Amino acid sequence: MLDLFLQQSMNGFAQGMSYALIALGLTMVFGVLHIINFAHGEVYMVGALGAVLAATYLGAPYFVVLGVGIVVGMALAWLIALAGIGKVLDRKDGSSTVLLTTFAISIILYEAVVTFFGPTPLRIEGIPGRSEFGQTVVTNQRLFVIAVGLFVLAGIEFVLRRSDIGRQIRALASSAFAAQVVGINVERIRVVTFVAAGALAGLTGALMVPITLFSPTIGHSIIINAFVVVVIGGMGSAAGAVVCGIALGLLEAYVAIFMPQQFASALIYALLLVTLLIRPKGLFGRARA
Amino acid sequence: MLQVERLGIRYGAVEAVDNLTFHVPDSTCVALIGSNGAGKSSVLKGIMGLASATGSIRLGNTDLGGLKSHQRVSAGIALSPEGRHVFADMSVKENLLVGAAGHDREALVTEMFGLFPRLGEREKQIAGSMSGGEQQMLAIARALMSKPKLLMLDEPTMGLAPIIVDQVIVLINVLKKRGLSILLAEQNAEMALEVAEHAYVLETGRLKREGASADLARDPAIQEDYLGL
Ligand SMILES: Nc1ncnc2c1ncn2[C@@H]1O[C@H](COP(=O)(O)OP(=O)(O)OP(=O)(O)O)[C@@H](O)[C@H]1O
Ligand SMILES: [Mg+2]
Repeated sequence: MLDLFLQQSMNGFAQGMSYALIALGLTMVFGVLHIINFAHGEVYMVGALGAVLAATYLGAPYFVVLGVGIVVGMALAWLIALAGIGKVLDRKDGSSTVLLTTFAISIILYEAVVTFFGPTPLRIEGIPGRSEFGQTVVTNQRLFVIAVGLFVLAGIEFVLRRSDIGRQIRALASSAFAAQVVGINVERIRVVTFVAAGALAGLTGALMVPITLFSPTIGHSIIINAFVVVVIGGMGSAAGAVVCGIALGLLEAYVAIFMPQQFASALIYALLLVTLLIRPKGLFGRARA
Repeated sequence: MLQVERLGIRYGAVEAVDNLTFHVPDSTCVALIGSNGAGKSSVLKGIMGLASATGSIRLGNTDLGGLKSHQRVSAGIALSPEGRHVFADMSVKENLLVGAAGHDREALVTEMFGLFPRLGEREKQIAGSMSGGEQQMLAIARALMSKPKLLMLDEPTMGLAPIIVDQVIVLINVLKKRGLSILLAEQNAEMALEVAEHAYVLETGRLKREGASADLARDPAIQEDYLGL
């Protein structure tokens, strides 16, 4: 039993890390641009696809494949910002319009990938082998996901706290008016944040695809969990997204010990409902000024 | 330094500022006086590029028309906004750094801590947890971090104790001596006429009076309407 628990802890942690990274991108974009990017899951999916193609057709080593995921994610996010956000955001009711434009973009991306690559799952090798800790066996790919995830989270924390661009991002999230007053180039910071979230999604896609396999629906599945994470964690809260993302991964894994997978989903939505009823701002949310 | 001509600002049907012409000479403090809704903040926002304006705004030889706010900051304009608007969840020092242009920022921060010792003592304190007066000082210091030529202060004395108001007056005089031009928007006409060389009186977006502060302070109509005498 203890072994199973440890086993599921590692599996859940790796899965939770992917939720955390995706939710972090969503919540940063929400905090800075005040929009919900519906297409974020498809950026993850297309990043994973880029990784699969780089590995399959170019025979690129896995570290290059990760880089391809990042670049694809950034490029796609930049295009989305250009097509679906830039012109729309400053209009009256821009934020809700963006919800629709990004929703449209997500459908276009999904259908395009299904049309060109079909629904059959594709797979690639990541980091080969597995490690044993007593009775617990974990694939090296999962350990790698956890390690890279922790490294990336620490990096993001460092950038947000210590760098000019990070301070400007936090300032803009805190008050768009004051950010303009102090001379921050608000449009530039918005695009930077959006593209950074895209990089994160693309990287996560490339990290997870050796574990989950590639299918065009992976974007849908992860974005739904990421939304739950963001709402429970508190819209705009980075800490909430990370903690709740990992917690959700662990919870799913533990629940899977006792019950079939579908019950895990039901449980998660029950949690979402309870959070919305008891703490509408989320666990880490604060009233915004 | 600042030349504003035929400034007009409207929000939908509301004409907040109508055909206002004024200027702020070098190393001088000029006050905009008026009661609630007179249009003072709108003028400052128009100059800052935060409200769309008609007419012409020039800083020295630079035409600010069509520039974005961050470009106006680079051109040498800074604003300490009404209500302070400090970054509540960032530290005092971070608030300053985020307002800084380019290099020498540590030196600038040190300079600000010299000018505002209270802020220096609270370098790491979260800005939102400071008193109103301290936040006001922070808002002014943050504006100074961009090394402006023209500093605009919107109601810097609102809600402050008389001692702190005196400190703001001292500060404005120090900044003027350093060569800054200051545009001060105030409901507190007594304070404004004390610190400014010249004042413009606004009423519902229009210029009602203008003149040297000393003359306005002696004017019976101004005394009655704005000084409560
Ligand atoms: N964003 C806005 N949308 C619509 N109307 C506005 C807006 N901002 C200001 N106004 C209107 O413009 C007029 C001038 O407002 P403004 O804030 O410039 O006055 P003020 O002189 O700064 O007043 P106070 O002393 O109360 O700060 C007011 O009638 C106000 O209601
Ligand atoms: Mg005002």
